[in-house]
Amino acid sequence: MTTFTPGNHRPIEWLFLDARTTDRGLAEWLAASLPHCAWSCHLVITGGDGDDRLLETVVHHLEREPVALVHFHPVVDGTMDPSPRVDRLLDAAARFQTEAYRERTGSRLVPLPILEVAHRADPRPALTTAGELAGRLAKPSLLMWDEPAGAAITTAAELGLRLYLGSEEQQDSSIMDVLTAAHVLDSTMDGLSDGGSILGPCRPHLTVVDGRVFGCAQQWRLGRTADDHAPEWRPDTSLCAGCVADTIVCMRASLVANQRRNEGRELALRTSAALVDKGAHNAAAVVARTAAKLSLTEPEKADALIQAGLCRLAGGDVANADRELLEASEAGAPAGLVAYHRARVQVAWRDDIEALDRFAEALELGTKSVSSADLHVEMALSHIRLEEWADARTHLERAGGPSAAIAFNLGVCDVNDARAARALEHFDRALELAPPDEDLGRIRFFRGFCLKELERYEEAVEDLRLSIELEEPELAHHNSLGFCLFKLGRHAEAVASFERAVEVDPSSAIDWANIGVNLERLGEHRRAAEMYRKGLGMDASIAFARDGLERIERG
Amino acid sequence: MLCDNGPNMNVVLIDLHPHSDPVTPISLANLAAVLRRCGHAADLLSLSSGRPFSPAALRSYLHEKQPRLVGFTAYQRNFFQIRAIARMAKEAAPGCRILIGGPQASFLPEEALADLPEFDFVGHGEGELVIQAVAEAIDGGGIDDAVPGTSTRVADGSWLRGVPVVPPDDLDVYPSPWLDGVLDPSDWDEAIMLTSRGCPHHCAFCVTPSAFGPYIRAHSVERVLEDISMVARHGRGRLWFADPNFSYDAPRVLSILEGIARRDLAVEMWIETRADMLSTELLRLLARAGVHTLALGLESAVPRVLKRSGKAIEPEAVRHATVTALDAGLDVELFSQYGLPGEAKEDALRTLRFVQDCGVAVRGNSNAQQMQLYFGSDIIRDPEVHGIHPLRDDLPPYLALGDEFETDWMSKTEMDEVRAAWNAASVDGGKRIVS
Repeated sequence: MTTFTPGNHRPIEWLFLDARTTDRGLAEWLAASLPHCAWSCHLVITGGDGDDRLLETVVHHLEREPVALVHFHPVVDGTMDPSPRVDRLLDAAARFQTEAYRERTGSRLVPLPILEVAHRADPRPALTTAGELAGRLAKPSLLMWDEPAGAAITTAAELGLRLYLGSEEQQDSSIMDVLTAAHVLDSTMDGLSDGGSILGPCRPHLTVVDGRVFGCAQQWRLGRTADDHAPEWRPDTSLCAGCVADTIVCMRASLVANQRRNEGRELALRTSAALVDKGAHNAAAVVARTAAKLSLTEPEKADALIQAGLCRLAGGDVANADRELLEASEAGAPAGLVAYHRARVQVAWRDDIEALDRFAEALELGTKSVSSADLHVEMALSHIRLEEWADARTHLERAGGPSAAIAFNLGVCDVNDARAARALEHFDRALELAPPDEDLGRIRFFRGFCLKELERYEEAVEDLRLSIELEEPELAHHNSLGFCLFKLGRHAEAVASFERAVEVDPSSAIDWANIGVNLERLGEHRRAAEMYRKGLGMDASIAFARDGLERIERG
Repeated sequence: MLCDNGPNMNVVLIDLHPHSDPVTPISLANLAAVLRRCGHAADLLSLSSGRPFSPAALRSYLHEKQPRLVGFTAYQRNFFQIRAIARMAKEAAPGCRILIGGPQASFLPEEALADLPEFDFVGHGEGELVIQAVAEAIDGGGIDDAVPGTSTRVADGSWLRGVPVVPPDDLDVYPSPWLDGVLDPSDWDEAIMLTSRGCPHHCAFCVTPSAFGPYIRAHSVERVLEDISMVARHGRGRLWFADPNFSYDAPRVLSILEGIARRDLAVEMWIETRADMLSTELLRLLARAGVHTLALGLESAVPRVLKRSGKAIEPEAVRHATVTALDAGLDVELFSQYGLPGEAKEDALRTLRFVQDCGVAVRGNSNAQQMQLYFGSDIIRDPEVHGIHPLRDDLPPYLALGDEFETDWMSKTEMDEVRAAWNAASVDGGKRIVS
């Protein structure tokens, strides 16, 4: 058994103890550990009905400590009226509550019995017992293995009872599963209201089962004991995101039964967004679907399903993205918005023809979320990918308003229509319109390319060099730069550029030949011949390479 | 006003929020700054459910530190715990003295003192002046006379009331806990700033005018900007202004906002003020300067109820300020409460509908709470005059009534129903941040 040490670490606030084993070890461990737990801590006790050694341990702790608050949550049989064990708990608590003012103590025992209602059992006796207990300084809750009927939910709400439900998503779940999942959910809710990290570790807790201590609920589920770690709260945070996602999904029925659908929905949506940020797109989509199930209105459900679809799309699961969006449509999502996102799905599928139909549909139907200007830009991009420059230009012109993106894409259309001078004007305009940093490299490349076409090689070199600094260079960057340097007679620099081109794509025959021609101009005939041969070996049709090789061989 | 380097004494100041997350202990930090200027070694402990402590660790800390003075900010909600920790401190550091200050101490009834053997001083005046006087008295040896600004337990065990301390109009005479290094901005996700004290309004449920004076005293703009600069440059730049009426002096606020812009400080701010202290132009400037949330005191949407509570504001003025602020891109929180004098259940539900109609989400501070009655408010001086009927007659004299009451207009059951209605409308389970 591990005990806690005082120090700067955050003390444990929740202990989940499986008391089915009745040896003295657990009570002794608890006695040694409690002074090192948080002054206000929670003990959740499963099993061990009839064994009061843990309660006695807590009472001794409270008698010794001037400031301590123990919330005692034993799981008891809800069909008894009330369980004798609960009676003993209430008797013990009374000393620390009703006599507290006279005793001037800061210590309290808060009884929070969890009344278990077995599978297919009638919950009414437990609800009656809970009502009686609530009048006796206890705050009971119910643990049910069947989804409760509306009447039970209403009664529980009137009594202010919390309902813990066995999860239909998690077959064969144990009491410990249900209660630790509730803890993770509550901690995550706290994170939501605090503005803290939703996917961060939850409130410090340990799970003790079969005499083994686990560093958190998820480590218990995975069978990883805490014995490998120092005796302090050191959660394995790499497990947190998955744990939170699973918890929200399996606690859905509980949220509904506890009339916390609004909170649950908001938590699910925020968690879904946080999971996307972590790159966990599939989990994000599943959690967004849970938000949809928790939604009280069709528009809310539709919003959540759209989010699920976008998570799938971001994760590359295109087929399921489309399915989620269709479901959102059935739930009444705005048709224009659905058409827009389904168009993006088609783009991800590389089916720009289908995408154009959907973008056109979105344009016709209209959507508040996406402006018609943006839709025209999207359509232009599809046309550009289809190399339909005139159509692309038409949409960009319809998009109107000055924007760096529009100016850039107009330039791209002109470049491809061999109108370099006009294209250059568009790229200059794009630079004036303060484009995002990540677009600067692309604009500089195309600008350099235009200057090359206009035979303004000195200026072209400047832009092409800048583009290589600003974005991951492709073959075309080095090839264009090498060409300009060749034209300027700067053959040594040209060789270096073409060498980088063949590093990017060693199968680029023309660039091997380009190295050859520049080496020939530098008088390095032996190496130049070698390069010509290499290029011609890949593509025998390169005329200047053949000519160059002949010249060298002729001497 | 402040002493120079004097004798060195270990002092521990403890801010304890047993049921909520930690907040910058700005008031205790102000006292720690004074003590440090006086040459004392002042530690500041911020304990809360979000920063919990174990009894063993706290006992060990107090034993090691051996403070001669331990101070607490006392609230109704932490009173039992600070009494217990006071006892723990006296066991761990024999001879140490205990001072309580804060809202629960300032107006503590005289008859309560006999029930509080753990404490040696109960502060009634401005904390910076009280702590300095207490530290000097302890350093002087035996306490045989009342210390100014306190009720003092003297050598024979009886309590004596000291002469009142007179707070300065110029708050800049006090050192800054941010600039003096008492508080490290990087320790706090959100830094609390307190740039002014006092309130000229007379709401019957509020203790601010009694505690800090019926007029507003403030730090200079330059001092405020120095503090903000420190927090912005060394912390996360998220500021939470605890001033009850942040925009009471529009030119001062404009100077602060201009200073933030001039110094190019990246800050996000939460501010609280009154709806009648705002203009459309000011709201726009606030949004531009980095204010993300504006909190306004609504209390009730029923003019008759507001009038009876002495809150001189029109709900429609709150609506107008709210809508204008939302248009300016600010988030808005509306403070409201139920169980006010003259308020029936339907009135309370009208307030809920008003908040929703204003477009304000029922979350955080926009969750309503039952009126809380603490020592120092007009109502608690004579609840029956205000139609308030206590439900408990067994409370010890050091605890105020809190929410243990019914009114002529609402039973406890009806108040529970109002609470349930607010909770049902809440999107965060009713987790109000500010009480």
